[in-house]
Amino acid sequence: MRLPHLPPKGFSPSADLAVVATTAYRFSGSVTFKPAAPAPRLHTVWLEIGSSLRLFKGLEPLLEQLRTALEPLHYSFNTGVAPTLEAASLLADAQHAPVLEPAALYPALRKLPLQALEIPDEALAALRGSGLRSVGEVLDLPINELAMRFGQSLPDYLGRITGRLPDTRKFFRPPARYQRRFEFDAELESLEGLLFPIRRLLVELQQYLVACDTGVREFVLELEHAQGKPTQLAVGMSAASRDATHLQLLLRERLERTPMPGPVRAMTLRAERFAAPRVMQRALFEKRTAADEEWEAILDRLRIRLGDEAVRSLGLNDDYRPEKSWRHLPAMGTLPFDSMNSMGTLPFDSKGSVPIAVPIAGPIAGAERQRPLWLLPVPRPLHEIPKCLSGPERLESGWWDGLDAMRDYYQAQTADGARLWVYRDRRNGSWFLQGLWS
Amino acid sequence: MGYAELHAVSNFSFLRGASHPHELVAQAAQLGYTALALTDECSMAGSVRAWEAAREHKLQLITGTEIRLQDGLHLVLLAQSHTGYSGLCQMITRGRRRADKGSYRLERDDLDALREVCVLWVPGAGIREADAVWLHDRFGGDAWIAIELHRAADQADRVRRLRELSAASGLPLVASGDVHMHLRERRRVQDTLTAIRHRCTLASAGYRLFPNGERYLRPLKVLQQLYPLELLQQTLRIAERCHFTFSELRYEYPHELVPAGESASSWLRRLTDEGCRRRWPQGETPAVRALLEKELKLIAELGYEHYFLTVHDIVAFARRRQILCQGRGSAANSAVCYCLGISEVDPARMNVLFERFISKERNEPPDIDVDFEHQRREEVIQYIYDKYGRERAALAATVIRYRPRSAIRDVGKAMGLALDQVDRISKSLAWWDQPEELPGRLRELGFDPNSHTVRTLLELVGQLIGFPRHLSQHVGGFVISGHPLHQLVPVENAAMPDRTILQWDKDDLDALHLLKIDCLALGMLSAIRRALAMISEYRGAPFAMQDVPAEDAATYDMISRGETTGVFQIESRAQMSMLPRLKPRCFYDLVIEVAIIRPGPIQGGMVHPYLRRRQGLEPVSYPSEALRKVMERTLGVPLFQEQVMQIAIVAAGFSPGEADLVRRSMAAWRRKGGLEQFRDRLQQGMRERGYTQQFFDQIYQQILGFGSYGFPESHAASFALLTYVSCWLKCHEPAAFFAGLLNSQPMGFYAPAQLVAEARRCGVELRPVDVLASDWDCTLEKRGQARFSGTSQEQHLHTHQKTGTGPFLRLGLRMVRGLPEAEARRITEIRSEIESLDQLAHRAGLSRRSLNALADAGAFANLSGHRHNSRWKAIGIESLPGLLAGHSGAQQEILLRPPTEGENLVADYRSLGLTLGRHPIALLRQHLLHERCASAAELPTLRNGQTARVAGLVTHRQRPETAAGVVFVTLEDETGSSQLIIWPKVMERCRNAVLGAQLMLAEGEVQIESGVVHLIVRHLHDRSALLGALPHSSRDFH
Repeated sequence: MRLPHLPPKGFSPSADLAVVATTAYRFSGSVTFKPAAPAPRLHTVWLEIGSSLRLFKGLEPLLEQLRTALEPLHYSFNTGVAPTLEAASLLADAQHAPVLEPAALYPALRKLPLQALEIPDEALAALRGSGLRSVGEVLDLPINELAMRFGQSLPDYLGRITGRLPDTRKFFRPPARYQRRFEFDAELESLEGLLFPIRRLLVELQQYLVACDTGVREFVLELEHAQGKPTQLAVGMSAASRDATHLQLLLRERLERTPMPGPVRAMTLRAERFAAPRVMQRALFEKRTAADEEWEAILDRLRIRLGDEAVRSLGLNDDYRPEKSWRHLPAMGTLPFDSMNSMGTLPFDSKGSVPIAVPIAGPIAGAERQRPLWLLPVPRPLHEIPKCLSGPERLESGWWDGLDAMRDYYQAQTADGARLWVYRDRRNGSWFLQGLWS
Repeated sequence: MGYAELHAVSNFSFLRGASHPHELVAQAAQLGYTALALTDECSMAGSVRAWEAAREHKLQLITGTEIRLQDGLHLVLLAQSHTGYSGLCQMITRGRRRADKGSYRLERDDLDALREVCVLWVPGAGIREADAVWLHDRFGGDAWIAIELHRAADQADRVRRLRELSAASGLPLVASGDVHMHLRERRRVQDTLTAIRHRCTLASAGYRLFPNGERYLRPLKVLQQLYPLELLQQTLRIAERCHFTFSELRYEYPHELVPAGESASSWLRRLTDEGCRRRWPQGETPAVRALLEKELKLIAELGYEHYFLTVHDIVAFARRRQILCQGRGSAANSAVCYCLGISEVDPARMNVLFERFISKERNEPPDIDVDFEHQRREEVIQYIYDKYGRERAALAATVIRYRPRSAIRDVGKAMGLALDQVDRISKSLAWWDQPEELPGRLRELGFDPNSHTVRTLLELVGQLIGFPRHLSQHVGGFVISGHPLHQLVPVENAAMPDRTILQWDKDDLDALHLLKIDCLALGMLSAIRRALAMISEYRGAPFAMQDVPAEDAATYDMISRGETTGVFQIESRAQMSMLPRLKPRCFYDLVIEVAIIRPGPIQGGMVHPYLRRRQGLEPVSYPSEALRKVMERTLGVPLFQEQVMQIAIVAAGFSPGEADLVRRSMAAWRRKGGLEQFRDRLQQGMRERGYTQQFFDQIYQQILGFGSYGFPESHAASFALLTYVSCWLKCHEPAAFFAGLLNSQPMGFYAPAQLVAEARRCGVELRPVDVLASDWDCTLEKRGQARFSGTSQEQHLHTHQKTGTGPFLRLGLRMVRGLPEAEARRITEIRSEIESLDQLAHRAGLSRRSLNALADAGAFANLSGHRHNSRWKAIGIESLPGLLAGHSGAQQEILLRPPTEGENLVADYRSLGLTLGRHPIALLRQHLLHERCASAAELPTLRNGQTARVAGLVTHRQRPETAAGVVFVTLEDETGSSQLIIWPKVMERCRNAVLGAQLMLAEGEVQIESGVVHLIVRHLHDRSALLGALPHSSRDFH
């Protein structure tokens, strides 16, 4: 079976092949594989099927079932059947009909074009430069002349193709520990974006579990970010499972409750604790710390009192526009402080217009003292011009996203002594309340 | 109340400043500033432009620079005097030279040598009091604390703290603006530049942007509100102390070229007289002597002796090294330069008036460009560096500016467009697209030109185009000085190792009247020198450029037929189609031919009137008797830059000095406009003298045309000489001529394949690359001279060429791709003793790669048969130790299939870039007949206006700026070339085929005019796929 460089990029080739080999293991006790040589070449997975033919009731049913088993993995592949491993590869490339009889092999090989041979480009160029165009013409050349020019490896390779020489390889055994890593071409920011690759990983895990005839008790998904520590999601189950859909359900719940410190650029799925699967139960999150539980209890109580929407965590943006200098993050299911230094979580009463706490940072000199800790989510128009104590501080920024701010900020005071942070929009002269000092 | 802005950066602080220097100056003048300091970061690159603008706007310009020391100290340094300025230049030079290109590194020690500068300290966010103390100790009364207020939140607090510090340290306070743009409206450009500089998007740039747009030239009223009066007044006191201006700069020529006991004048006279005896061994004519005396007198009066001596020294070096060179330019075609060997244009041979080339009234430095053989110019450059030292010689800079493509790429990235989108937009711009075509292109790519993003993108791109981006080295303009250059202008590193450049470009040098000698590389000089050497060897007698007979009729016949492929200057398709109409008969006709196909004459509409007069279709007349003298030699049609200037003098009453200003403006108007004032004066002057509006319009259009590429008669004359020599060589010594061209590749308009095809059309018999016969270079072979005549089974020489009696042209091993010269040279040394491939490989120490390259090139044909055999044998060579070496075991004979013609052809192109076999199209001809394609040779036999199809390899695509969007394509087949004309409408329809096809099939209308044939294209098809199928589809001839 020949696979092109695998479409969802990001896996390491041998890990990919191990997944396919694990699946193939269900069809043959003798499976071996080889990662692709340089790019245009294909990955190869070989199965010895001579002894499996009877079990699967013939070649066609076997190939059919193999295809069905591989389908959910989203690989494209060609199959080739031949008496030798190397010849099977060549026939798979050429999409040649299966060749079962040794006597039929030689004529089939002869007609293949020269470039079908998996030999170094340099040797290929030399043979082409000498006017050779088909595999047959190369097979006709004296072995010693070939060896003199290209080393013994070329005639040996030809020998393994034709069966003149034996082909011995180590066979594949599924590993006792499962680990799979996936790197993304671009960083993923949304949960939705993560779900597809997660599904893939879990389907593969399922294939692995089926091939090994076992289930998983606990697995860990680790999400890597451009900066900061990776986010780890450990999912434990009271009972072992190998149902990808179920595993995904569990993971998704965890994900939705876990804020990311940044976009995700790679993920790793690990499983070590295996057990024969039993009927699934609903007991989740077996292993949790006391602190986690306490924190969850607090959050749950807040949610009950304020409603889910009111409980959020906050992050910072580098943006001069105060209303853009922070953002909401979903509330966290576990204690967030270790992985997110610059964030605080302060749940607050919510009717939309009440200030939210923003820890101020940024390189504006002295800004710490000039800005209030409490900012409105949306600046509120002021109908009276307040009494300004100091200012203006002029901010002009953000034209690139269509929300150009041109404002003069002042510290102001109301009659009752409240200190306000207000600004005048320089384009139309109207006044707004941006925040207040407590 | 006045104000002097003492801290302003222009866009010569690359990717920081958002305004041109002249914009800053004009705005400062407009606002009523007393003075403006241009303080680009560790640079003087924009200073001359600013000075020019300041003169125009009558504004005091202060010259200075802003620097950040390694320890973070941020200073603005302003030159009080010439001494102060030189100190700054030296400091900048030091800081730049010790860092990578584009950056600088300065420490506190580097300020030690500064004298007579004003120092403004710009304290950072954390105000370090120690710095104030240090500055006071170091600069005393020349140092200030700059207060720069941009309406930040902590402004009042900051003023208070700096006041305290001022009182404590004794450093006075002064207001300054840290200006980055002339108008507040440039804020978007400035933010964008910041994002580009940090290689991030605007959205992610965050606090790296400025918080607001206050860093512009603020009106005085605003400044008065912001700053206490005393801080504003302090700016004026500083401005008063800074009295340096560029008009004080004095440049001195190098002095060492004059031996002791001689004056510059006497030495120049002696050298000229020596040259005169060499040029005219029988003695010069009285006319020449009179001319020499007149020129020498003029040179002495203007004090230009050192300039001529410097050029002479460089040229003399080149002659000693046998590097062919040729001077051109206003002074180069003088009799003095002919005697000094700077030029080969013999004043006696050419009816050109020489006094025109230097004139006393025009107060301009003489201008001599010297062209050298392109592959040997580096020797000349190294000579100059060695002779004068890096302190006194440096290349001028070229300011690299944003063009539409680079602007789109950078702005697009800053705006956060995906990289593939940005690539798509910038790649969709053909090299000729104008900025105004952008919206249309974007719509084609599926962008909505009315969306906010696209509108912003276009607006920013429009503003960014023309912004300087970095300094690069000028192609060859050297400034050589008597004193170290860094007293005059900062010197920095170029991208090339061991090259240093000035921070000024040629316009800056021009404005300051600095001497620049252009040492340029010219491929044709290499080709001519090689051809002359081959002829000398072949004839057994030296043959030099001056031995080429003048005014040869056969040569002019050839030129008049348009058979000029490969020659100098008149080889382009536009030139070739002009030649049969112009029919040059003498040297001066060539001078005209070289100059006429240029933007100036074309845009001025002078080409067709000249042609008609030349062909006798229109009488020769002059706008006035006064202008007859100016335009007589060009039949009353002004063609040269010099004539346009003369017209301004004669017809519009300009003084020679003013006319020269027009000339300089011609070169610069594209850069900064400014011709309008001349326009009105020219028009008025001409009207007063009774010239028609139409004549004025023509002349003015021509001035605009010269703006993009002015072509003076003085340059045309030097070029025409090389044109004539190359034409004569092509006509009489074609084998040597083409061998010279092939040995000088890459150069010129045509690739080796076309040169070889043309050589065969000229009757040259070519011989293939052969390890037993070829040298590294292509060579001439006397008939019967070679060990092997070259009739190997490998080649399919076709005998449709004329059989000649001249020497064969043997292709050199240099044509074999991937073969190192050293190995090729070893082959030629040992081959006389070689009997087998095995021996050759061993004795010449050929690498496997070289063996393969030679086998694929068919160069072993006489040792091991056809390519397949050669390759098989080549890879079979064993590297054996000691005595066994060169005696590989007998290889078993294997019958390998010989290559087909198609296979040979593909291999020829792949390894040599040309074939001596049939043209690829010949192999496809059967197929093309089915497609009803005519051959290039058949086209002229068709009716004018008839519909026809042709197919061929695309050899050239051109879109002259003067041709209003028309694209010209040249197709080559086995019979010659066809010229296609593609109008913009067809171009838009077949854009991909026009830009991408290797093999093109065109259908259109035949147009024949004065023997010049074009196909006006209606449809185009990309048939490149046919080429890929060649080796398999071709017939087997064996």
